[in-house]
Amino acid sequence: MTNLNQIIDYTKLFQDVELATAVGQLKQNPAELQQFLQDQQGKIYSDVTKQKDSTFQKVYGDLNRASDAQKAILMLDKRNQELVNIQQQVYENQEKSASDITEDKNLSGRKYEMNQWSVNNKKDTLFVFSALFILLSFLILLTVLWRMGMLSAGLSGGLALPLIIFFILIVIYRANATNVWRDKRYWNRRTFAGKYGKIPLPLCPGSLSGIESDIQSGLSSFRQTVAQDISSIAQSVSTGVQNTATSVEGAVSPYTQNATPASI
Amino acid sequence: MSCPSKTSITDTELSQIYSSNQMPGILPSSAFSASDRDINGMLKDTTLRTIISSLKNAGIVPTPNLNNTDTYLSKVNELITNTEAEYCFYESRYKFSLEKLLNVINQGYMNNTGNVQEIIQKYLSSTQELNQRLNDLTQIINGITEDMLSSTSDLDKQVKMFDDKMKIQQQKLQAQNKIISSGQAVTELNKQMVKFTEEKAKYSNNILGLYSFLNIVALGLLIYVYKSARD
Repeated sequence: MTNLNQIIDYTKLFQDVELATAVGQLKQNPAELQQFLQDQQGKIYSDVTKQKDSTFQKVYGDLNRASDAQKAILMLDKRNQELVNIQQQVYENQEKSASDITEDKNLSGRKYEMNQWSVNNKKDTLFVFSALFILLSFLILLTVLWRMGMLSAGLSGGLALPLIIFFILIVIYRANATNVWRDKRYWNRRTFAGKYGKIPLPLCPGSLSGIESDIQSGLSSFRQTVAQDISSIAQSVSTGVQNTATSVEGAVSPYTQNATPASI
Repeated sequence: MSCPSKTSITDTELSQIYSSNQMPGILPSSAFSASDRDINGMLKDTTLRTIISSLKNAGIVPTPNLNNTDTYLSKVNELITNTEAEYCFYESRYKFSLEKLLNVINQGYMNNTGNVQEIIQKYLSSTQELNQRLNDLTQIINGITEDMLSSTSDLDKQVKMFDDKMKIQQQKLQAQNKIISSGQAVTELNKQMVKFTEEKAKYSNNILGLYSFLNIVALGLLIYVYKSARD
């Protein structure tokens, strides 16, 4: 290894000596020396500038390509943004159409419900009118028969009275049905208007444990209301019976005062 | 790209700093300090980042703006043109200085005097300084390119975001289209149902009118019969 280093050192020395000898020889011939130096200078200059130029060409080219890539992405981005805006406009227009259609659907549905209710109400009125017509026809018949002397006035009145009462009951029932317990939206639905209260429902699954007690309390309140209703009905019936008995007693008493009890 | 061929330059122009009417140069007027460089004399990464950040803040390197793409692109074009002009400015001086240096060395071989040594030293230092400027400029341009590419990847994310947005809107449009196409049939059906109920109402009205008339007649007849019976 040491030998090799020595060889290298010697070689360098020989080269330097040789170069110095060559330069010395060139100095003896100035024109040749001048030519040699100019050649060397041109070579060094062109090498250095070429290296610089190629480096800058590379860097400048990269910058251009990066800006081109960025330009392309930006244009794509811009185009995308425009597309999004166009799509948004289409969406808004279509949304309006969709909402209009939904509104139309709801409106026509509601209109159908209203018409149905109105038609059924008219049918109800028609029923009352036809009942009235039957009643009047029957009364005409009775009057004609009474006038012809085929029926007595009392019998005619007796036959007419139940019919009139029945007709009045029909009118009352129908009016009550329409005004009180019929649903205002759906003809065939009945509303109870909170007569028996509402059965309380749990608000969330966590309170399921309270359902049983709620139902129990609802049932008890229902029973209580029904019991109250029954007791009031029974009371009114007993009062009615009592009144009837009193009136019957009053009607019969003149006869009983004059008559002798057979059994006694 | 190629710089214009070397123009005549004087020695006093060698130390000039590039400046343009449109935009200031990328390189600062004063040279970077030794602490900004590594052992090879190249600018450190941290220094480069600071320079690019300050160039961005100064508006020399534009930041991508989606709302004003045209302005951004024109600024980028301006930057590229200006960079080329700046490089050419220093390159012409570098070449001039290098040529002068080599000429003086050449002259020194022929006739070595103390004055030649001094001139060599003068051109050597100016050549070194200009070489370093060109190297710095190259490094900064490279940094700007990298910054552009990183912002391009950010833009790419935005493009993807817009794509996703478009897909969502497309789905919404399809759903609405379904509503419209199905809703039209239902609306037509409902309209026919409404028409049907209107006809029913008309029919009921007619019957009601008839019965009203019949009832009036019947009532009148009843009154007439009753009265005639009393007479």
